[in-house]
Amino acid sequence: MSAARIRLPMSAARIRRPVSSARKPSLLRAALLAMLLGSAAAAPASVSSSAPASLLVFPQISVDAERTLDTYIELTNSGAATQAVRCVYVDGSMAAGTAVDFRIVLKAGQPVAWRAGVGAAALPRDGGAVPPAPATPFSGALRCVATDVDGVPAAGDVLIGIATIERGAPTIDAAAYAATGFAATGASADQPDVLVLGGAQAEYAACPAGLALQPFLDGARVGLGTSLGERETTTRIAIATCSSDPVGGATATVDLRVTNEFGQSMTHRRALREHLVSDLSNLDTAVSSQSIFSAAVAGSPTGNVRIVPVGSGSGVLAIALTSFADPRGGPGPQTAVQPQLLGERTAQADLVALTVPAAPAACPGDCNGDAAVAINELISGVNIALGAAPLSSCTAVDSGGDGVVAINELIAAVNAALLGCPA
Amino acid sequence: MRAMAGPHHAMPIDATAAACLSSDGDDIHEYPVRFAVFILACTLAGAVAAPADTTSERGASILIFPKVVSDGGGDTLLQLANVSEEGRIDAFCTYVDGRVGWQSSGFSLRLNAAQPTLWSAADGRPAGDAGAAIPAAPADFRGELLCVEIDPTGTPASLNRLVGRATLLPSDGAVAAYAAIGLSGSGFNDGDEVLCLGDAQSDTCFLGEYAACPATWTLSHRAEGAIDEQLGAGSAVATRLTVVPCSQNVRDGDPATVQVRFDVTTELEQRFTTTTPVTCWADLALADLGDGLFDRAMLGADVLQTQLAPIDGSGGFVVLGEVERRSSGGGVVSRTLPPLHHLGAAVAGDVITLPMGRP
Repeated sequence: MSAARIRLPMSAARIRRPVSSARKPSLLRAALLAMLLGSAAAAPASVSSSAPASLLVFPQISVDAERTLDTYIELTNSGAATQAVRCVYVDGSMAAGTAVDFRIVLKAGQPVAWRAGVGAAALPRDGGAVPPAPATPFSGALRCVATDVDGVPAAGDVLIGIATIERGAPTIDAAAYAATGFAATGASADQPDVLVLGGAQAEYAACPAGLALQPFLDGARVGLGTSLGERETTTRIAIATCSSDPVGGATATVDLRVTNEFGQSMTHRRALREHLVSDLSNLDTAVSSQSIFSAAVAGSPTGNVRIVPVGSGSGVLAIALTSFADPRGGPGPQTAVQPQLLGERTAQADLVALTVPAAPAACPGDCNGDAAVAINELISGVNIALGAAPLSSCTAVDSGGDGVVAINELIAAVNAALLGCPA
Repeated sequence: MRAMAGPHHAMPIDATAAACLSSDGDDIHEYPVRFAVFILACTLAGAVAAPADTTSERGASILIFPKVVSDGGGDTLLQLANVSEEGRIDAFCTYVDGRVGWQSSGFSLRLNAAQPTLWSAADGRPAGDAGAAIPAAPADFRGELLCVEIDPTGTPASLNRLVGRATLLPSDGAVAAYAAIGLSGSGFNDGDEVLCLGDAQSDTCFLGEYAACPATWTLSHRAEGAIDEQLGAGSAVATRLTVVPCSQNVRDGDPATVQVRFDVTTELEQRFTTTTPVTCWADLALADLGDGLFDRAMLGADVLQTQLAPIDGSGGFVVLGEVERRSSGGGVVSRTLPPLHHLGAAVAGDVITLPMGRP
């Protein structure tokens, strides 16, 4: 755009606005101003990834020991009082036993952290224990809600969360994103195990009406400077439903629209249940080179991707990771792409169920899942009971699932060793 | 919006609000009913105006990219997009060098509805089907990119349609990306080159035209030198912060200084404080602050929450956090730019003064 086309309407003289008697605010003018700005500032409960909230959603938690993939989770109580928190992992597979909940306590201003694949045997300052992610591999969401001392969800807009997805091989890399936070409306929780997001009976802010993000499209060739040269990009997106049903899975249908750098748009509709992870160029087709999300089809290396829930299904949240492929093979460095939140869903509520289905009956003390309890596994159980080893070293000995190994659970493990695992 | 004649210049403000501001307080005594209706209208006008906010996840009218590097060893990929599907926007952007006394280099661009654009700080973007040329950053550049939404006449506007993203390409190959920090427009904008952030009144600012910079920024991070469990023994985590004062007199090249207070809480509930001044632009290593305040060896804790706030009377600022994971050999093996959270509005009003005669 040439210099002549856009000009300011002002003179070149330095502009100052002296506070003359004509402009000096009267008390009434100040009052009017306060009313105007006060009305504008009185915003309803909001959804945001940059402000403390009562409910946090981490749309993508990744754990895969074979690929040396894990997620470092940081959860902070930014408030001035102790805050109880209840969290739920839900794996995208929705397979039995792949959801787990846990409760922790954060002191005023206290930050805590753990790796999803490992958990934490004991958070500092008697914060409680965090189990490892309930599936291996795990690809799903984590939701954490502020509660009262009895575990009933309660307003407490103090939680902030950061997740860093760490990859150990073939090259070490990491990408960080902020959890999406939902502020509380102040309405009481009529069902303690179901959170209402938006709608007439809203307990928390409404889910966004849509999302927008500007990733590099798949197959784009991007210059990364002299040290890395030109790399081909792949963007992997995780879409989680705003509603959550760990038993049956919440469903959503979304319109996915991509607008290229020339302002041209293409759209595809896709359904999902609870959690979806896909390369961008596989959202609409199995043949990436033909995808509307490929740079070749779109005609530009980046696009404005808009994700809008349609129909009566759930709203959605998302996070994307762009990798810059290593020419020698492998994904190369990766960056997180956090979407913009567009509007809010006013017509219908999203429901988050916190009740986790019971895991299938396991063999007590069978640490390695081989349907037999060996002596070393009994020893692991005893060590856990004595506090000499973390629970994560053998969760199967905690058959009650309460985070504590009691005498009866050790006895059950011994019985399994002597008599064999239950059929 | 209806332009309204005033004693100094045209003020394209929302019509109802403009009427409110021109009110003479003597009316209340002579026409009480009319005045009551007037109050109601003013209140409704305020209710309709969008609450101004600092945001990286919604469209805004001012974008600040705190860290842009193009110094021969590294580069930065810059993305801007019109997040709205309702119409085009124009933007005036300026590279502001953080080290050379606020020297700036400006340009304008236009984005149609939902249109994104991409360029590198080192190369710019040639003119073509995507739009006019975008210049490269000045040579050996380390600083910020500031973008302001304007209308086709060059007047600052408050449509809140701009979003942005930067991908840092350092010489060590540890690529990382961040979302630009946005300041939304309040809907009250007199269209001059003095952009008023927040509601504090002064000789130059009577109304808050844009969101105030936050009162507090919160960073969740690990202590300096904490071992990275994935990298193993000998590894270390290090955190850097880029701080940019919100008050920026780009027109006169007059840098502002802010006083930043750091309040640190460890996972063991221990609390510490330190302060540091920042003039113009600063790329700070936490290891260099507070005489080892952030060191794992001193704190005895790995996990920290650090709140950054302006000391009373100091202006607001924006912050970019940068976490480096270093191997036992000391080299950076990965870099992340975790988003910071923020709360409240800085008490002291901030002002951005754009350069005159910009394109």
